[in-house]
Amino acid sequence: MLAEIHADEVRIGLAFGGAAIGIGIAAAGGVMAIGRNPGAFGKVFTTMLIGMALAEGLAILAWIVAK
Amino acid sequence: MLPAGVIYRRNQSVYCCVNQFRKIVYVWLLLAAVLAASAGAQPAAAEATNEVVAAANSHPAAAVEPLVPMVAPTLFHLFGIAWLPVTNSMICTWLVAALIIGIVRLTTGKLSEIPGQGQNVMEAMVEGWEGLMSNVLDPKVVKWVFPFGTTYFIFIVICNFTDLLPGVGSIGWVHEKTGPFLSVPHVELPFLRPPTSDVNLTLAMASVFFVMCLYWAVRYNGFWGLIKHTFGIKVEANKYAYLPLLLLFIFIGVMESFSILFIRPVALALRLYGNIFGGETMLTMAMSQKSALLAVLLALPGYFFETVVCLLQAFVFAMLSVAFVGTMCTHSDEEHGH
Repeated sequence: MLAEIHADEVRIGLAFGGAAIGIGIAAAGGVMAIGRNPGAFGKVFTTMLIGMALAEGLAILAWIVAK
Repeated sequence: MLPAGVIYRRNQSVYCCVNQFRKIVYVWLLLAAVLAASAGAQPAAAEATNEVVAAANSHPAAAVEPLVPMVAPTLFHLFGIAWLPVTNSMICTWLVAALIIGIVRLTTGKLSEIPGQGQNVMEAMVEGWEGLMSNVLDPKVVKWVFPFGTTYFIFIVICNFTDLLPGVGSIGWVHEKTGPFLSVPHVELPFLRPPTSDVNLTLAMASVFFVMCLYWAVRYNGFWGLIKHTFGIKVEANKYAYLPLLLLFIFIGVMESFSILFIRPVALALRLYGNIFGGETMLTMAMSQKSALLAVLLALPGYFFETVVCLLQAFVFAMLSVAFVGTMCTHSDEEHGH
């Protein structure tokens, strides 16, 4: 199983793993913030989405570069 | 003076974050250890891999092909012209568009004061999205962006849900018949394929978003206003701090314009494509198992997961487009008011 893993795939996997951690932290922070202050849903949610998009964008960039 | 409970809770959440971070570091260390161990075992395994590669090279037909091709395969050519190919995802797109047009015509053809069932659903959806957007955008910008964002959401969500329909990706041509009575383990050229699992559609939608986003930003800020919005200083500074801050904000502007011009549209397109294509591959893989029980056991959780992913990705695509427009169409001197 491990013998079939190529270097490219490991790189992409590491990049997406990092992005996943970042997105998870952003979502956790967003949920905490909305739970404390539900009135600020719009602002918190937008900022959270943009942060997630940036984290994921870098992973997609790594994917393109590694391919 | 804050009540003590708030401070306590805040500290706790900080501690919680730190604790999570430590766990994450442990997980990464474990992963690195596994990778290092597998790298140590690589020389022994490398020979086996080489043999496999050599076998694949000597028999091109035996090379591993993805279960679902990355690009939608061509079904036929329009009017027999070589540069007008019709792919299976295009046919699915036309069906979805016809479905949307039909439903909208049927439900909102005759608007009445007391809405019927169909009109009620449409009104609820439109009002919901209007409320969601007015959280994020200026009222003036909501009027421009609203048709765009809502159309994207409705179109993408129905495109994504075709992924879950029986018959999409499972009825089509094969080279040789292998199963009993019209059944094959895997269809090679299906008639229908979820439109969003083809990168052409998502890239086209992201390109339209890109052009419209720049157009709205220029219309809102003016050309020089947009330049100032991207590169300009966004904090108050006295004359000594002005020059270093200017350099800093110009650097930030360069990074931001790289993000606006390249990362945002590409990431928008590839996120949707990757999610739906990955889901389609996963479902096809599960359904192509030889044993029926295994196929059901693998596919059932996959279908639940995909239902959530389809809805969420459509929402994320539309909401992110709106949020990106929102970041470009805001007054940077908003804080001076209060």
